[in-house]
Amino acid sequence: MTRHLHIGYFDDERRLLGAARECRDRGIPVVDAISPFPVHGIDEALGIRPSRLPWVTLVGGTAGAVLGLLLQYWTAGVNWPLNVGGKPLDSFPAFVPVAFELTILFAGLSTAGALLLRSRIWPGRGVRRGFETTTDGTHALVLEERDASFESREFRELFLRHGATRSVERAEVIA
Amino acid sequence: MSVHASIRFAPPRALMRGLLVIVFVCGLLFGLGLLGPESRERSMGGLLMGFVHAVSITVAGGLFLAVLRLSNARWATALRRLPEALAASLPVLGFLALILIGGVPLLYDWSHESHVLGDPILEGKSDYLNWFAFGVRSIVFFLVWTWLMRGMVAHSRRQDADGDARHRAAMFKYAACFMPVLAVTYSLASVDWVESLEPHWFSTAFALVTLSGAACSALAACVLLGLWLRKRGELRRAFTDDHLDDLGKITIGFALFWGYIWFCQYMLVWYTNMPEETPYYALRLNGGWGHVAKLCILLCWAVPFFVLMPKRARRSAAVMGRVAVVVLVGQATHWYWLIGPVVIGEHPAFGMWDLAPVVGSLALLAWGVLRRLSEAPIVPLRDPALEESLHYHC
Repeated sequence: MTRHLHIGYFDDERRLLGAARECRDRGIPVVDAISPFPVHGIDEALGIRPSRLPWVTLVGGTAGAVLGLLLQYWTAGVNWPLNVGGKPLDSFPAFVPVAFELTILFAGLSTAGALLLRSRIWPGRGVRRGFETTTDGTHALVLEERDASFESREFRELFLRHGATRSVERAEVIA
Repeated sequence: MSVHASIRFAPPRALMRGLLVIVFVCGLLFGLGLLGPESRERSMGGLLMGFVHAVSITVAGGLFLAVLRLSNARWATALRRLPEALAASLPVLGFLALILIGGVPLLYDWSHESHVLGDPILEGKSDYLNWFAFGVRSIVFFLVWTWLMRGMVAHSRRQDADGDARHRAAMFKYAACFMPVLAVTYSLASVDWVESLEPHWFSTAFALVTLSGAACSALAACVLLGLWLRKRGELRRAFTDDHLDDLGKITIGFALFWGYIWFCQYMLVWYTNMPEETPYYALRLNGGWGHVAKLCILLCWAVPFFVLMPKRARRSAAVMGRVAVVVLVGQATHWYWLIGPVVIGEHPAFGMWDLAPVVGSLALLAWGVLRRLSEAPIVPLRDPALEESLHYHC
């Protein structure tokens, strides 16, 4: 399968933002915006929904807390009852530090793992090239032509109207 | 930018007069309490609660200010006048410090010779824990804090007038001095004022509990003050949801730190179970005080930690305002839990004698803060980082 991409290059991030906003408002599918530095407001201009990553953190952290408490309760209270200083076997305060650390460990690892998986940037995956100048001075807005409702000319016009320095068409093969 | 340039805050006259009336009425009730032999200790204990709460808010305001300066934080530049106003209003509380010094015999067992003689531990501590040394130390703490915090605030205000870059460097120096000095002096002060109510007990984590709690209180005070000024109009454009979001994040951080340290101190005493340490918690976890302890953990840690976790909550003025009130009430409850068992007794009681001095101290603080806030433009006009702070995006 191939997809037909239109790439506009901009010298100024405000122009990029303007073009992205128009695409969002007119319902033109944006593949990505690529820039050498974080552009404030770009997520809103691209219509990107808030990240769901915090939910992964919450679930991971809660799992760490619950598992940490259960582990200690079971080992110290059930499987191998341990009398420490005459305190009850299921002494909650003693379990808190380990449960606290496991909360952080699980929350951190699950967040990092989910981020790598979802963004498809796990180690050894290699680098995708194609927008070289976006690592120094220019910003690129990548649009996709999905049906006949927009012609190539219209994409080019949209880019130029917002002050793009260059407009490129490209067919990309995706597996 | 120029929209903010001319804005100064003028405290509403009726509010200022109302605050002074509250201070006056509470002062009368406090005086009345001192006359009764039954209520004398409780009134002075109430004054101590209000005093340490108010002092902690001002001093931690200075701490926030110093951290912002030392870390070169630009995001909060538009809000800097809020912690500045907290820090600059310390001197008005000096009056309460003098009352406390005068009331030492009502609160502290170590000030009675009959109590100290024959007790080898208290005899050994008597060179440090005595009325004269307590008074001298309290005054020295006040003078040192006032001097260093005034230095930061004064240079910040003078920068508004001449825009000289030298003020920034001077603020940096004062801030760099203030941080280590505060670490030592606040530790000693919280031992003097609160921990020495039980002179046999000791804890190296005590000042961490009180200082992290103070940071929570000061941040909550900044949030409330900022939201109020935004609603009135003075900070309408300068105080954005992004600032609110970040204040919420620091509040979560300090609430978590407070809970962490609070539990650390408790757990070590619980675990080792040594007779010289446990009476402190035995008194504070039995006879009804245990419920107060649970309430403290709920208000100071659980509510801010869980409620402020979602980004949407931290960006909502209604949620942040309510959580700030909860934190301030929670920290006041924590002071009550630390001090109350000694002055009130084995069972918690709560009445006019405890409440009036606390309300009076906080009203006095509010009056001082609003007055300080009106002395300078509501945003630091000539600070080079102001523009960036106004457009801050978190």
